[in-house]
Amino acid sequence: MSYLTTTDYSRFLSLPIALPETELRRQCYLQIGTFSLALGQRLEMACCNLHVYKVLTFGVSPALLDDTLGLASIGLLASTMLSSAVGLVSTNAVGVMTWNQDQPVVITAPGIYRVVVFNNCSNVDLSVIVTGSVRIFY
Amino acid sequence: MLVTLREGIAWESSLAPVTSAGTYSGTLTAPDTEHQFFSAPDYQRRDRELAWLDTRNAAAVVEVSVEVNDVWNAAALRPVMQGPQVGHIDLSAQDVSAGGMLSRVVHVRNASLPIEALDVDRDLAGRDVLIYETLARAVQLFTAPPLTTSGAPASQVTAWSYAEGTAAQSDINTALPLDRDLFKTPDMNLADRDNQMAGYAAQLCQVLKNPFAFADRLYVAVYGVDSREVEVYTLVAPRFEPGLTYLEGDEVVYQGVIYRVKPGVGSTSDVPWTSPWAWEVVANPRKRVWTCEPALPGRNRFVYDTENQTIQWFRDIATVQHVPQLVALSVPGIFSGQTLQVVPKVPERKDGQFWRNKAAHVIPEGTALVDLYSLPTVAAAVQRGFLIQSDAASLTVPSQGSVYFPDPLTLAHPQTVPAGSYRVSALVEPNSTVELAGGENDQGVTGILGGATLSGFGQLSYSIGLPPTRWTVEIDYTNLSGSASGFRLVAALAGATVFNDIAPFYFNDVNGNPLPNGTIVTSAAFPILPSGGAQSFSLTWTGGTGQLHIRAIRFKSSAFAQGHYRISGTMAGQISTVDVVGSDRVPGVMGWEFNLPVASPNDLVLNYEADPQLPIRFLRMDLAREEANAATPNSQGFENYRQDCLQRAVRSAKQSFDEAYYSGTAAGTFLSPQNVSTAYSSGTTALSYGTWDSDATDRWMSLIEAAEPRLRQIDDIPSDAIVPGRQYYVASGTATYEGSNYVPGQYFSGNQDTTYSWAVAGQVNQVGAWQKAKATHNGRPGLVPVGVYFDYSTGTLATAYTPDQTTPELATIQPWMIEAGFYAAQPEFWLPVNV
Repeated sequence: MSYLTTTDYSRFLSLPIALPETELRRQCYLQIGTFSLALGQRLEMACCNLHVYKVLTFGVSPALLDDTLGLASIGLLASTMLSSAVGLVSTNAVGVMTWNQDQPVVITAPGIYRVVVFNNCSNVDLSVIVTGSVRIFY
Repeated sequence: MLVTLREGIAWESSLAPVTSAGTYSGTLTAPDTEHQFFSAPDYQRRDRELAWLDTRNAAAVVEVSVEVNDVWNAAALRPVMQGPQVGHIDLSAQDVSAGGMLSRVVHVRNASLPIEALDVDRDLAGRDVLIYETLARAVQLFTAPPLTTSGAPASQVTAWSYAEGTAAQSDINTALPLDRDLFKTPDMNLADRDNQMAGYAAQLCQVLKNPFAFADRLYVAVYGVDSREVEVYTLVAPRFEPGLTYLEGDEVVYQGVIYRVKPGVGSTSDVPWTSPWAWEVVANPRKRVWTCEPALPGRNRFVYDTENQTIQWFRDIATVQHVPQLVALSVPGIFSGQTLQVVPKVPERKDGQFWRNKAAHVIPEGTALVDLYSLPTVAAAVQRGFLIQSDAASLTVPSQGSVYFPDPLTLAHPQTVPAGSYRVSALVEPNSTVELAGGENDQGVTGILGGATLSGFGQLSYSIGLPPTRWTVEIDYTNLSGSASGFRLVAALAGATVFNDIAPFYFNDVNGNPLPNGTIVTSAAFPILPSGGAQSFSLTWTGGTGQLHIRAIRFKSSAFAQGHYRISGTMAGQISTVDVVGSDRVPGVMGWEFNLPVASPNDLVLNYEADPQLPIRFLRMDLAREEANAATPNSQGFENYRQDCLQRAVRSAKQSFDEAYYSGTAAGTFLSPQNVSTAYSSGTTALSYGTWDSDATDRWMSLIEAAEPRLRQIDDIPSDAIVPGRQYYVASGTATYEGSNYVPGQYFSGNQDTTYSWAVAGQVNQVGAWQKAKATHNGRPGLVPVGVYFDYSTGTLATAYTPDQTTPELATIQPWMIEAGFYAAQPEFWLPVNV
């Protein structure tokens, strides 16, 4: 038995969550990852970084569609409601915001989980970068 | 007197005292003394039985030594045994002498008769009992003493006699000359064996008298003010840390050498080996230091000063210092009424609540949401403008609704919240079914189970707004009195008939016989086309006999699988907006944030602006305040501590599940896990299989709770529902339990009495590491049963595993888990989500 795995799961896949610098138009979202979790598997996301690299629309005060989601957000969800995402990383300014890796997101319920990054502004386009990874134990 | 201890005790010719039947007699062999007949074998056997008593004493020493090792984690002396033995001696009054019980042994002399050797034996036996009883009484300090008393009186002897002990194994034998040494030599050997056991016992008594000088581990509790649960402190060697300032007398270990700051130096931060004028090398540290988790720098420590024989406690908060106290297992703490208690027992398994308390000792930097008020259901009483459905309040079309959060104790309204940042989170569910209870009519006609019972022909009307698309209507109805085989009803929407009374709503079986009264029948669905605005839907009873009861009216639509929602919230003039897309029957969480500049009422107005597609149900709403954490000073490096505690709490829940299901108090009361075709039940407790709901969650939690009483928080415990082993917290008022009063902020544990009373009315909550998840807990860690999942295609909960496999697991709370009544970790386990 290895120290790297638990007694419950013999293997794991480490999968990237990655989006190179991308223009994310106002009110738009991008699905940048999909993970299908089967019964008996376990998904952990400890690492997820959202970098709002640039504001592409100048001279405009950002108007938010949803006041709890910042300029832009990234999250993991199995439904369509963005505000319901878990592992939600939101930022209110240009820069990097990171999920607190000390308390990883853990999902054991089977389902199809999507990683979605979205521009929450109704009047500003953004340039965003996403890095991170999930591990699926099985 | 100096006794050199040998590493073991020889078995030699030890022999157990037995009856003629061969069973243990408990008394020494008694030679025939009436007929002046000298039987060497009897005398010999008696000495061998005394040697056997010595092995019992040795076994007792081993028992105590093992217990000392287990409790203090300190290596204690123990003799090597040459055979199995029981560590217990019973007082046999006829076999002991008063002198022996005072450790005195008078050997035979040249002028003695053989019979006088029996007196020496009684001295030796008395001494055996004395040694055993001394040890037995010393170990009574343990919570679970390994020895029980022999029945001998308490001895005041403080000095041991040597009793001419000499190691020379010899037995009485008829082949040897009948002289003094025939008896004295074996007795001197027995005295030597006693001396050995006395030496071992004395050493152990020293350890028991002052465990701080030996213990590698302490088990310490704090009672009274700022109480702490009993927990393990482990011996550590304080390492030199560059940059810290050390005061006179401080000791550190640096590169394997113990250094102490010299007297007169004042203070120093020099590296020890570079600064001989400030540091001196010492062979033995003056202070013994134990620490517990989280071992924050300079805190969470217990220090024993070997020179002054004092102990001092450093808690996790360094604001007030503890005055060193003279060594004892129980000493005064920092504050009046506070007691530090070193508990002499083997540490037991810790539950989730213990780890919750530990996690609270490290507060991370960042902000946290602090739950203030909750609406577990958006009940009719606290809202205005919502459409009240059978199981939830809803906004069915763009419209306005308002709610307020009453005081959970007094239900007083309005509630004013101070200036600050607040978040309202709502657990919502877009749903293409709108079900009205029959009693929610404009006429105020009510009936059983929320329905409406008409007393005669008449009309019921319902105000409802539905998105402007095709809908169908079903009606649940029954007959409550008299005989009826059907009811003639006219249904109208905004005055226009949508279903006429040409054909009745039947109330009979396939043979045409009337159904039993009370049987709920669902009508065939008929279509309607609402306008999108508020309209009146009416039902008019026009014909038939009996007594018509309308239980529910259900509107359904399959026009939209998803709905777009833009809902703005207003609190004290501050506006916040949600803009999301939701799926039919899939729970979600919406949030509104408000930054209130001044104290304001917590009334919330929701304005559903767009779009009229799918009605949305509001299953629960929670109000929380965003607060900046007062981070624990010098806690860098402990960022992960709360997560560590959380993992341990989950592990405890897992173990409790196993104990409850398989080996604990609830074990065996559940049906065989293999018998999946039948219900899993234990009296009134039934675990779910196949389907799942919030009731199933509560049954599952109560199963685990059988082995872990402090598993979950439950608010507002009735005064007759105290359960032994569970812990309770007084939230308000003054509660009286078993003669003691408890004020807000104080805890008490369930004991014999199952009831408490109120000195001042208030609220008592059950304490636990987990609390029922709120809408504000989405994305937070929770305790979930493995195998339970949400079927997004049907909008239902299901479980894939048999109950024996639904072990607890740590998982992130998702919206459907809140609806399923899963439990989230208490905030003490939380870390800031974004950094």
